[in-house]
Amino acid sequence: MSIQCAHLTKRFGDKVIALDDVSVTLEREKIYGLLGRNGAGKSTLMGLLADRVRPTSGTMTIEGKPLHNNTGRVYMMSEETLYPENLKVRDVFRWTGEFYGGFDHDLADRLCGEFGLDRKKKAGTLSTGYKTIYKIITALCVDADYIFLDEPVLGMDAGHREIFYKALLETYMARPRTFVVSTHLIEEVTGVIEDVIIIDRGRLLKTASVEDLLRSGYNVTGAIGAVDEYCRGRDIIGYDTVGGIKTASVLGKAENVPDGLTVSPLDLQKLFIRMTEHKEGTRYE
Amino acid sequence: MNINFQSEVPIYLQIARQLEENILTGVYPEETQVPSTTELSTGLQINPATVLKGMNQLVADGIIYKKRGVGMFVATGAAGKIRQARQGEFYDNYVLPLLKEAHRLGITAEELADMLKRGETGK
Amino acid sequence: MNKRTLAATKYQLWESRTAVITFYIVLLLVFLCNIILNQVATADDGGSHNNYDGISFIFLFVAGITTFGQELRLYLQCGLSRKQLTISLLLSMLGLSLIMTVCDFVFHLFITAAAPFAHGVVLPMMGQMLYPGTNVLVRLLVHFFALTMFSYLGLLISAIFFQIPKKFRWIYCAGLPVGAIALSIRVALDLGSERVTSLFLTFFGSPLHAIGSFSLITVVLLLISHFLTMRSYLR
Repeated sequence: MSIQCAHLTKRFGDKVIALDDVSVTLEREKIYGLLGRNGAGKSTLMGLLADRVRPTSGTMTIEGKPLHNNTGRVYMMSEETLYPENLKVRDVFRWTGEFYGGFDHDLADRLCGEFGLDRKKKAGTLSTGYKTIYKIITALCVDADYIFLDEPVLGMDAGHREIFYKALLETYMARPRTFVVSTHLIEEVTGVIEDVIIIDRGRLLKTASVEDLLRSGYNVTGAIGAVDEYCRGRDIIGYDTVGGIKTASVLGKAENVPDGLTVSPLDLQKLFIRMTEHKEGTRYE
Repeated sequence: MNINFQSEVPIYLQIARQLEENILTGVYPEETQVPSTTELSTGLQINPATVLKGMNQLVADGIIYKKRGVGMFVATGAAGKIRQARQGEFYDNYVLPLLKEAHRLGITAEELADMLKRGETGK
Repeated sequence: MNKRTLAATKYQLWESRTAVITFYIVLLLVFLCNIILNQVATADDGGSHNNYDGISFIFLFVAGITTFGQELRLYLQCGLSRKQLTISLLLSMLGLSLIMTVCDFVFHLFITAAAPFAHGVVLPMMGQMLYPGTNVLVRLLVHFFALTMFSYLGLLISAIFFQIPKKFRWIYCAGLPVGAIALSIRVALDLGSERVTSLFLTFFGSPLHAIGSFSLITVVLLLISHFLTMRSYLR
C-alpha cells in the first residue's frame, strides 16, 4: 500500500524541465523528509503528488489505482493558499473535516492554544506566520493517509517549530500515516524523519532511510595532502577545505585510515550539501 | 536525556545507552516503568521508529520487558546485567583510548599507574 | 451519493447564505424605498412599473461566475475529483435555484399583497411574465429552470476563463461584455422580425417548451463546463 511514481517528468513550456524521470515510492505510515536545494523541484514533485499539477509524462498510482482525480486520502499544505480568504479558521477546520470525513478537533483546539491562534479570525486577515500555522494545524488534524507539507516551518520562530515537530510526532504515533515534509532546516528534522528523499536539479538523487544514509560512509579530516592520498581510488561524496585542513566524505567503511587522519561520522546536513555541490572529483560531479 | 546528532553512535543506540545509564543509577528502579515510546519520541523529537529500535534492543538484551497494555518495565537483575556488560566493554571503550592518548602525549606506563593511584586517593 | 460530494454541496449552499440573505434584504429595502419615493412623487403616469424581474437571474449568473474559480481552488485543496466537483456544483446550483424560486415567489406574494400601498411597484416573475394565467406550479418550474440556466451560463464563462492562458485572459474579460452588448443590440434591433419571433416561439412558446429549452440549454452548458473542469488546473 503506497503511492508509486514512475518516470515523472514535468516541463513548463519548452525550456524549463522541473522534474526529469523521477521514480519514487511513498510507503504508508512513514515520515519522509524531502530535501533539495532551492529550485531543485521539491514543490513541483509535491504538486504532482497532490494532483495540483499534471505531469508531462510518467505515472502515479495510489494503492494500485491512478492518482489523478483520486486524491481523497491525500492532503497538501503549501505556501499557496487555496482556501477562500474570508473563511474563518474554525470554518476551515470544520469544512476540511467534512470533506475528508474526519478531523482531530481536540488536537486542533490544543494547537491553536499552543500557537496562540484565534480560530474566529478570517484566514485572509492573518499575518504570514499565522497563515502558515493554521494551515499546518489543518494538515496535522485532517484525516488523510498521505500528508504533504511543503516547507511547513518557513518563517516560523524556534518555539513554534518545536511545537510543530512535537505535534507531528504525537499525531503520527496516535494515528500512523505518511507524512512528507520538505524543508531546508535539515539539522532540525534529522531525528524526526525516518526516510529521506533528495531531489537535485529535477532528478532523484537518493532515497534511503536516514540511518542507512548516515552509515553509508564517513568523514576523514587531516592535512590536504594526506587526505587526497587516502581518497585516491575511493568513492568521494564531497569535501571541504579550511585553512590547510581538508575534510572529505567517503562512501563505504573506514579501513586502513593512517594515523594523521581523523574519522568522524556523516551528518545529514553536511552530507546533503556535499552531495548537491557537484564538486570536481566527486561521484556527484 | 540528551541526544547528540553528531555522534558516531546511532541515535537508537544512544537512547538505549542512556536508558541503561538511568537504570544503573537507579533513576528507573527494577520492576518500574520506563518512559513510553510516545514520551521519548515527542520529548526528544525523534522518530518513534528509532526510539522503538532502541527499546527493542534493550528488550533483546533482557534489560526491559513489555507488559501488555501497560508499557515497558525494567527487568529484575537489569542493573546487574548492564554492569556486567559494561565491565566487558570497559577495556575497549576506556582503556585502549586512554593508552592511545597517553602514548600520543608521551606519558609512560609508570606515570599512568601513578596517576591512577593519585585519582584513587583523591589528591 | 458520495459523502464528499454531499459535503461539497453543503459547503456551497452554506457559503452562499450571506449573499442570498443580503440580496433579499437589499431587495426589500429597495422595494420600501420605491414605495416611499412613489408616495412623494406624483404618480400620474398610471402605474409606473418598477420591475424587479431579472434581478434573481443576474444574481445567479454572477454567482455562477464567482463560484467556479473559488470552488476549483477549494476542491484542489480538499481532494475532490473533477466528477465530484461537477456533481456538487450541479446540486448546489439546483438547490440555490430552488431556494430563490421559493423566496422570489414569497416576495412576489408579499408585493402583490402590498399592491394597494405599492403605487405601481411590481415584481412579475418570469413565469408570470411569459405565461400569465398558467398554473402556479408550472410558472414556478419555469422560473426555477431559468434560474438554473443562468447560473450555468455564469459557470461556463468562468470555466472557459480558466482554460485561457494567463496573458490572454484580459482579452476575454474585455471582449465578453462587449460581445454580449453587441449581441443584445443585434437581437433588440431584430426584435420585431419574423425570424426572432418564430425562434422565440419554438423555444418558449409554452411553459412546457420553456422548461424543456431551459433544461436542454442547462444540460449542454453543464456538459461543456464539466469537460472544461476536467482539464482545469490553476497553472
